[in-house]
Amino acid sequence: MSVILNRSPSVSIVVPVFNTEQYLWQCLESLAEQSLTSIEVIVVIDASPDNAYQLAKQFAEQSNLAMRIVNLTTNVGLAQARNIGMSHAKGQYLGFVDSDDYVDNQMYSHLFNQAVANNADWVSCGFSKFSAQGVEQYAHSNISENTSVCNKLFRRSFIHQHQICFPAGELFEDEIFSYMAELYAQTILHIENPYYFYRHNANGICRKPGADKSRLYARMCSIGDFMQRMEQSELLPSAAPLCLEMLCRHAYLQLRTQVSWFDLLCYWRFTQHLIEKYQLAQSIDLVKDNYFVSSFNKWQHREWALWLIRLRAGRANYAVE
Amino acid sequence: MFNVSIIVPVYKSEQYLASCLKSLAKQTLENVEVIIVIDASPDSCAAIAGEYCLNYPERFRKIVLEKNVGVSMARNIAMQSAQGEYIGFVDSDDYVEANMFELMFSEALNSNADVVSCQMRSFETHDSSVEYHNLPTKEYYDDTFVTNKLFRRVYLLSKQINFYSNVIFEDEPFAYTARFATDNLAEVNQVLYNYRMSPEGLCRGDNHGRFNLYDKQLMLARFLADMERRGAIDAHAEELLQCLANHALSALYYHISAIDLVGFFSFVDHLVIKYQLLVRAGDCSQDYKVSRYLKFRGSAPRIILLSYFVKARQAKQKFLDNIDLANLTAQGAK
Repeated sequence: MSVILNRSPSVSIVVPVFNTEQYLWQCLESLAEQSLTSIEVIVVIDASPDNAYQLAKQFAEQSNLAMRIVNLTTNVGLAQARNIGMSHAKGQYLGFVDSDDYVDNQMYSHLFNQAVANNADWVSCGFSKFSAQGVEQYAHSNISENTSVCNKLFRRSFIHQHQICFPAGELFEDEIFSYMAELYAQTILHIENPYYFYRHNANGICRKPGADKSRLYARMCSIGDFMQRMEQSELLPSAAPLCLEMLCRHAYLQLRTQVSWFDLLCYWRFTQHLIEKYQLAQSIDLVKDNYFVSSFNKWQHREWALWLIRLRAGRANYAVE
Repeated sequence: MFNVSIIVPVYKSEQYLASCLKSLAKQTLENVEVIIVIDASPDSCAAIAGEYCLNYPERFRKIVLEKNVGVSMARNIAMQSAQGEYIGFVDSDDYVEANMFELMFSEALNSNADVVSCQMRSFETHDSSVEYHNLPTKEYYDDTFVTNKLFRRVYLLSKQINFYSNVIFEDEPFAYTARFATDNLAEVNQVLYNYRMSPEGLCRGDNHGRFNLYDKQLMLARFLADMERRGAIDAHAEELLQCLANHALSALYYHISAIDLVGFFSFVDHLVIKYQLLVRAGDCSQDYKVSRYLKFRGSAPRIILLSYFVKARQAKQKFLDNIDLANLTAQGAK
């Protein structure tokens, strides 16, 4: 039976679930084995058509983990599912785990202790991407490459105070949340240990080459929304260097997707439009050392060269995100 | 409570503001309030508005913004303090007929409508003459103005209809959303609003063609996402498809490169596919705009050729107009 804690837990973990029954058990087990004991887990079943709900219930009965299951009857998407999970959270700090991933058993005690000791608004750790082919480790401290919310722990009062939430939409929900958190924070801490294990699914829906074109255009829509959100929250003048990094990074990463040269041009020109519209070019000196910014700046007016760069980048065969 | 709140956002229009406000002062409907929003206009607009507030304190009031927020936000800000049963919008370089709001309001009451529309005409002042043209408002995609309409205030509030901030063509999504969310629409079949065509207007400058086109992408993406959120797509897929087709075809007239033009078509295509408008709209092949769009959408060379064709036709028309004008002037001189 799930344990009901007398006082508010140190950490609340929100786990949105959709079509991941084969991985859910491993995910929940890794949370039950945390060395930090004052922890609550909020599982949000996002109208998952598989047996995830029964599985989660069964796990809750067997384990000592303080666990709450929110069973949604209509599918609301990852962003909204996390928002709903957040609204149930009682912990001093707040974390997110995706239901096909798992975490190291030291993760939350280390992050929580460091956060409390330094009175940090949020703390992040490194992460590993694993797949059938093997494991790769990452430890980014630059926010434009450290945009996942899963390898982080946020002070709940901080999130609440600045009304940071996940915007509904299909892309960038993590990025927007992380950027908001970055821009409002006074104290941030990075720990290098790769505590979070991120499942890299080479055959997942996201990776089908035919879907790249529609993702490219969807990305234009989402990135436009992102910029508008930045402007509305009045973060923009100070966030301009970050936004510039982000826009350039996304433009550059599109070189590695399976879209036509023409679609790519459209994306680059759209990026130019956003840079012009939000007057981001003024901040270019602050981030000119950034690889993506300098590359974008160098190639944006030599569009024919994109074709060549794309060939080369295609061979390098990087992961897109 | 006022019958109607008229919202006038003002930015750099000192030449025209007085004639606009004068036409509002002359309104035959008595119980109206005019809210003038001075959007940090650097010219003498605030002083002109101040005069009207002084002379007609029971009708005119102004909100002065210290920071320029753009026409959309200026209207949103005024809407928050509006108290009328209905809300109308007038642009500060236009003017309206004296009976406009009386006719519109009584039609609104008669038919208990949430949105009432009237006809509009454009005017262009030449040296000594004024040229008027009635603006098409028959089709949804033509009638994208908010200035020829009255909106019930509680209706806008309950449906949370606001102007999108900082994006071009802010009227269009507002006008569509307001009409899609209700069945209580009414019309006054008279020309009551006069819309100034300015040769140096922002939308017509060639330098802005490309910027506007990309900004339009932002607007359309937000608009369709908003429609989806409101669950309005199924009922209005046909109008939305016409709207997108119309935007794609109007891009043919922009002074932009072929890549930007074809790119815009591809972006519109993305929206049509993403929201499954062709499936949801059913058979639209009878519609002129939609059928033209469907014919050209898939082929970049045809889109580019078509754009040369429409521009050539436009140039020819302009040439003929100039000859007519020269003949008229010559006759006048005799």
